[in-house]
Amino acid sequence: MAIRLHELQELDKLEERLSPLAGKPGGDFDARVQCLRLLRRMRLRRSECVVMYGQELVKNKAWTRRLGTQLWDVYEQVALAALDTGDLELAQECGNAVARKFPGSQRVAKMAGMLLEAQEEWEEADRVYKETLEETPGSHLIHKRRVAALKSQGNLTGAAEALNAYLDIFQADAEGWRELAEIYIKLQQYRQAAYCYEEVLVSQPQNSLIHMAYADVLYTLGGVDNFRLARKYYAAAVEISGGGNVRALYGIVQSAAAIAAATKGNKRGEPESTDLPLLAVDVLKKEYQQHCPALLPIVTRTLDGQVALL
Amino acid sequence: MASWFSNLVATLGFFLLGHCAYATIGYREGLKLAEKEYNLPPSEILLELLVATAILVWSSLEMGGPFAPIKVDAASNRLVKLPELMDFCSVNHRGRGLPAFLEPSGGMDD
Repeated sequence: MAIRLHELQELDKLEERLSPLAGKPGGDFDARVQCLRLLRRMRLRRSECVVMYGQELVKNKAWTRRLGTQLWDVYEQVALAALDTGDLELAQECGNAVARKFPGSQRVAKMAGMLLEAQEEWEEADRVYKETLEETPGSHLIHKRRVAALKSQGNLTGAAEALNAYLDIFQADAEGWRELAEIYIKLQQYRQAAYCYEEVLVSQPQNSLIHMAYADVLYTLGGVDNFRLARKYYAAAVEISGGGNVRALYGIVQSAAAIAAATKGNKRGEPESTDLPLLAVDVLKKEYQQHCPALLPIVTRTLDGQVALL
Repeated sequence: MASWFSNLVATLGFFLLGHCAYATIGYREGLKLAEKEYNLPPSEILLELLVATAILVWSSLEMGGPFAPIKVDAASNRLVKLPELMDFCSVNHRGRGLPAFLEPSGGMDD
């Protein structure tokens, strides 16, 4: 759902342990396997890292035996990472190994298609995807690849259409909704993006980062009502994260200042309460005092400028 | 480092556990011969069982690695970023034009 600080720290420690081994054969088998497993679980796109530590794993005969059933996951991971770093030969090698073991698998078809995508052979790639979809129409992996292929060609409108069609069928796919939101943001269709983030929020209401992304879109849309709603969702993000989200704290201050600027001179209605933004300002100053005193003067100046608007 | 040691201790624990079972069986055979009623194994075996359990609990926890924090608002449990949308990743990007592994040039300060 989301990556946590202690997971990232664990990964950083492993990478530090592995860094002298980069691109060299031999060395720490357990750390390599653990590093790749963490990257798979956290779904981080650190393709260089995967190729650096993973290619020795799949090339060393003794190690491939030691990996057991995990081997095929590692092959797939290394193949996709190799595509990302432009090492098409390695990708082909790993892909072939998996294809020999699991002929006709959707994941193999996905790899084959992505290899064609990397070579910019869009029609061929689409043919592979279409053939796979004829056999298994419910394959969400392949549906998603078709969207991604359209996106890679720069056809964002087409990608949005295809993803909408996909989400009509797979409505509970939160990742799909997130991707659609990102595409709409790129297309500057913020109202649609907000709707997509609402869908993600429904499925992950405890995730403060989604609250924040939704509030970001609302703030971008503008208008007093949207600013108010953005402030509400930034506040929710702060509450859920236990105050550990600096960006959301800034968001509260910014949206409060935007509300004040938009309602200036408007005598009707109640004046806005300034408790929340002032509290956020205090917390922000304390955080900077504690963790980054060098930036404190700049932050104080900026925040005081915002407070003056309230 | 911890793994081989905890493996060794776990093996010892299993050995002790097996020994407890074997000793209890032997004890019951003895009781049968003496035609006495069996209630509990003798205190030596109970002590051994306790030690074996403690050792196994410790070594299995050691093998599992450090505990992950479970409190939502713990500092180390902070949500840092959303997972990347790997299903939608594009492999046709400008990274292809760059050499895959750049050495740090040393020209830039941290």
